[in-house]
Amino acid sequence: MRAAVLAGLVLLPSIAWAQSAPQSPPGAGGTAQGDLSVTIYSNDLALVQDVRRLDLPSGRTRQAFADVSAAIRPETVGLAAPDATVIEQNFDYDLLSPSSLMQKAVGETITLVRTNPGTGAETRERAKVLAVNGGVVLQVGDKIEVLRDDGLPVRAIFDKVPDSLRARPTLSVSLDSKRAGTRPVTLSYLSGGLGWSADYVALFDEKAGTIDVQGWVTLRNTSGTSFYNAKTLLVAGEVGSGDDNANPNLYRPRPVVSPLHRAGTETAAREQLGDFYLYPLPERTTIADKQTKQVSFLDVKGAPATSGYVYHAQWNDGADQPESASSVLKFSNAAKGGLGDALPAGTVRVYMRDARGQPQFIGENRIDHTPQGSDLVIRTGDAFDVKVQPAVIERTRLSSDRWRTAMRYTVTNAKDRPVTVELVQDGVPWWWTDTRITAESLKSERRDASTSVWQVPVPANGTTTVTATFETRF
Amino acid sequence: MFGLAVLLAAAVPPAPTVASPGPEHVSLTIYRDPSRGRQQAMDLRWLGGFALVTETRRIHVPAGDAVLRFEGVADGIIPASAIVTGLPGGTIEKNRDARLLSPAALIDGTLGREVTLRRTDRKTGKVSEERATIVAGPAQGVVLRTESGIETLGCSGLGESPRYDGVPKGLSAKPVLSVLTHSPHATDATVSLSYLASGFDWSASYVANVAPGGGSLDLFAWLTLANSNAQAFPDANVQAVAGRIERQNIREIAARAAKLELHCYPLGTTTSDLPVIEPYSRAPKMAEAYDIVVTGARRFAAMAPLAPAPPPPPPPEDLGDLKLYRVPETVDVSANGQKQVALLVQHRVAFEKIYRAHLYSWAAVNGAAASAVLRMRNEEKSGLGIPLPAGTTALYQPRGDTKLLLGLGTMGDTAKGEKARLTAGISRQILVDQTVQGRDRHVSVTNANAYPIKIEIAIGTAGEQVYADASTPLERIDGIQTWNLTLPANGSAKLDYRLPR
Repeated sequence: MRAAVLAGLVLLPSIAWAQSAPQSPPGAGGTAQGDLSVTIYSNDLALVQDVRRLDLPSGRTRQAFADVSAAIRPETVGLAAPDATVIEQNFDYDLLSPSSLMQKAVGETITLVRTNPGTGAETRERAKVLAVNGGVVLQVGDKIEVLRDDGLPVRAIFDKVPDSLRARPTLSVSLDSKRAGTRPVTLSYLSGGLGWSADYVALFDEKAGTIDVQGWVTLRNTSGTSFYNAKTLLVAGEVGSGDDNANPNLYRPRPVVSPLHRAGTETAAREQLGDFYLYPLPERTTIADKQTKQVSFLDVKGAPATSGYVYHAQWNDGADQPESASSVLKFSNAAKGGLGDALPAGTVRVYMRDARGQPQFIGENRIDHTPQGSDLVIRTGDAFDVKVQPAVIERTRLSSDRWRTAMRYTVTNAKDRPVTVELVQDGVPWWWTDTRITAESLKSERRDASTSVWQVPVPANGTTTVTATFETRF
Repeated sequence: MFGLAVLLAAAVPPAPTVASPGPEHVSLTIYRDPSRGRQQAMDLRWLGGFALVTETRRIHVPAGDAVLRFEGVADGIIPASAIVTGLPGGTIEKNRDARLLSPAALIDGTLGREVTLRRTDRKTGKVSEERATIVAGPAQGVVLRTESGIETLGCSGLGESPRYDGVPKGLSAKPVLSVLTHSPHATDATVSLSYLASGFDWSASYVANVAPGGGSLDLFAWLTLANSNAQAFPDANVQAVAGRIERQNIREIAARAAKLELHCYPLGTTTSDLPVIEPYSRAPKMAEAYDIVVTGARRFAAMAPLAPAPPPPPPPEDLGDLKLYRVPETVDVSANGQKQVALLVQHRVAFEKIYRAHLYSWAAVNGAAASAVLRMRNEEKSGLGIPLPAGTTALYQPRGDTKLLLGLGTMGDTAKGEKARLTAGISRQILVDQTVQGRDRHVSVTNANAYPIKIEIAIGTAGEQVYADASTPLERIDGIQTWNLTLPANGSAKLDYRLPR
């Protein structure tokens, strides 16, 4: 029995055995993967390089490659083997299943084991499969019958697995080797199902005006395959892919508070590839299937940071209740007075210590790939104590195309310390250039044609009222 | 099979795994669903808020590389948010594995290896066992290699089941969070693990009682919190954070177990198209195995009679721009449960009762009812002066020994110094009419009560032009032109205004 099983294993296409390997870590089961290098891009794409030692005979040979990614893009496979040339590459997905097994057995002879329901006695006979169309038609001796026509138990036993059927989709390459012998063969391909982003933990100390930032790279493997003991490199950048729909010319709504306040012009002390920053993981690692893995890449203590408030008012509209201003956290990633590194895209989670010193979560936001030297403004949420109530106090039609709008913004602060609120009036009609502010109680700054900004100081437990009169075409 | 081990050129000895079955102490900070408006109640089946879970665990860390498994974390964990501190060797990497043990995962994990195939004759009960190797599966059925040859699982009409020698490595009942650490020496470490988890929410539930004499009210609020995780948090420190927090959608790996479906080769027979029950119904369909019966209905505390109020907790503390409310004692937060603890108690809060109605300048209105609100100022001198988190309100008035419900409403986050409002029902005693004649508008309002009332009638929307020739000057309240008046007992009043050209 033991011998029979071992013989069976040898008969089995090696692929079927080896593909069981992802279920077990190296050392316990087995994997056909060799020396792996995985390069992961941020847009769900990875380049896998797998150096395997293969014993190739001289002349033509066909090699099956087990344990490649289940999300492989087979058209991107490349193979380099010393003293051998590639004749053809095949990606076979004719899968072994009860149905395909019976289909391939048409014209072949199989064994039937019938069990007598009364006595339990087994009888064996050989049968030829004539057709598999909705049911299985067999020739037993000189009679034709349908498999399990009487509903009684019948085991159908096949002599072998057809060579063309695979347990999993299989990559195979035909090689022409000039010599026999073992040599390293480099297999490379692109795979989906692997992606990464950054996660930042920012602990904000409001009194000291500093943040401690830890950066983690978070990789996600949904490819269906585990990658064992891989040299892993992360690329902070998106390479254009075939199904690219990220057209930069498409309209993208601007977030309420854009995190990038001023783009930086410094170059980070990281390895670069073209315009991309590279983040190699310090040690080889196993990226298991369905795994989320985090590795630290940044740890900065005591970088300066300040909090602030921003409120955006809509054009010609009021609010029947005061609305919360946005709380924002401002910091820089410049070398001087900042985090001193380029920041790959990801989620910034902001924490703050409560009265007992326990860190508490106060909000999160997403940043894009950010060059070093940028100023960042992270909106963490709505302020409880700082509110703005905009109101239209007068709206007069001066002429057929001239309107006067008097606005009043009531800015309240229930905190026991003074604050400054950046009050932004959005959407001032800009498509004619003759928009004017004829009177205002606080000097505004015109950020662009449609945006006026006031820096409103509000005393502790106090109120500041800003009024402004606009003359516009609408 | 032994020869294959040679392939493992790059194998490294796996680090020892240390499991931490559960936390010693848990602190939960619960945050509201940022997208739930104040008019929306919490939906216990779909809680959109979240919590920051901070746990303390005692773990024996061996020297050298070790994998620490954290068990008993909330199922709603956002793995990317996990922070582990207190390890002497630091954190080399954090992993979250979501490969779950399931029938399909057993087939998948045993592919190419041996199982014991047990067959039972349905009629005679005769059991036979043999060793078999799984050759294909589980996607489109299972193919086995037995001593006899190649067979398929579940197609013969015999009772067949594979029995496995063990659970394949890397499969677990629930998703597992683990960290890899390298400790310079063996030690017992106190490790703090904190993470964000979804499936929580909280709300304030205000109960206001008008004092017997009128003129002031007693305000009580429950902190209503809910946990829809399967994980309970016994004896936890609980905090609730008021204010709206910015959240981002995080793509998670769904911990979904693949389904095992046994497919056979076509099994049509000569008689299988006849409309009879198939004689060999091998696997009965799992039809509607579970009926979920919901008993009991959820009510907000608003409807409950006010029992003696629990001791009021300390006032909230500032957490940056948010407010942190602490539950004074440790409490048990159960799995799939809602819990209420006292949030605040304020006695003798001064209020002013006013009526409000809203008209639009283009629409004629006949007998529109005004709504009554109790308006308070959130200040110490009015008997309040604490941050009021958003929630539902219920207003009661005493009548003899009992009390009557006057109004149900909601309240937004209200900072100190702001106005707060309690809904006190809709009155058919105060009615508003508006007639439309060209650009002329005539408004009349009547009071059927035997006492004078204050009423605000807002007209139009913010940003409208100034109305001309108003017979009584209109005041801009919150940007809307408003007719503000006091109506005498059983009296009425009129207003004329004109639309601008």
